[in-house]
Amino acid sequence: MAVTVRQTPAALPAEPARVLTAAAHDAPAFEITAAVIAGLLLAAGLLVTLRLVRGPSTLDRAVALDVLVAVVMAGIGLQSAVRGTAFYLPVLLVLSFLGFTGSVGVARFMALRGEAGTEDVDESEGTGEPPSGSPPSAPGGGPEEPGPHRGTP
Amino acid sequence: MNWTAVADVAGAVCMLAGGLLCLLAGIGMVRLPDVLARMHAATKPQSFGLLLVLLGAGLWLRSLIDLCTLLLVALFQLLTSPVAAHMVGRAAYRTGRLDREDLVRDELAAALRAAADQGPEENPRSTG
Repeated sequence: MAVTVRQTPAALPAEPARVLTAAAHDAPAFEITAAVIAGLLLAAGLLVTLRLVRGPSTLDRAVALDVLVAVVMAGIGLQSAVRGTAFYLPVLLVLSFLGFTGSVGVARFMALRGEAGTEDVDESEGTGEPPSGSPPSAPGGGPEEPGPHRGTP
Repeated sequence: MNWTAVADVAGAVCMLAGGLLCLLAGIGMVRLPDVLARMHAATKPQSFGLLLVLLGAGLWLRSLIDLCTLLLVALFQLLTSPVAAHMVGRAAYRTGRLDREDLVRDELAAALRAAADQGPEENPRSTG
């Protein structure tokens, strides 16, 4: 048993640098900084989620989802930096790979729906004339008007 | 002063700046009035904020393979987020969810008009 007890400390110094940096990042200043950054990211995520819930159109929600993915990626990067582990970096890689597919699909779907003519506010597609398309967008955008007026003050 | 301490402080500053950019994007997403204006706010954490956070994480992790992974993440983020922004902006323009009086320059209208003059069938196909 004594041999195994001596072997486990001998196996430990394989990563002295990792332990040292982790100890350095446990300094109170770095912990406070990491907590502040986490708070900033949390507030940003809450605001983006508010837009995601309130967003008047599907495109607003697509943009909000993109920003939410970016905020989550920043949070994962912060966590892996604080813990000193590379365990979550493949998650970052996958998110940066596939994070854009959602909004691309939504944008494509909106464009196709405008092409089919089933959307009430899609008029610039049918006429092909954006200036003639803007007057009908005024009644169509009527229910969306509270959004800008709520945001401007 | 050790260079690891310098790297720690620089990484903390970078990550703090990235978090501030994310918060700015959140405020902009709530307050800005339009899809295109919200996209303007949305690009801040997608490109620069995330790059700053990844740079800070690389400065704290300080191992070669982690740095290469973070570099790949930054590269793919810079490659993919303009594609999504392009398609969302084009869909927003085509579905009329923008204030045309706010546009300083509208180059897509002239292009759409030219495409409509050439052939009306070709115009919606090139939505992509």
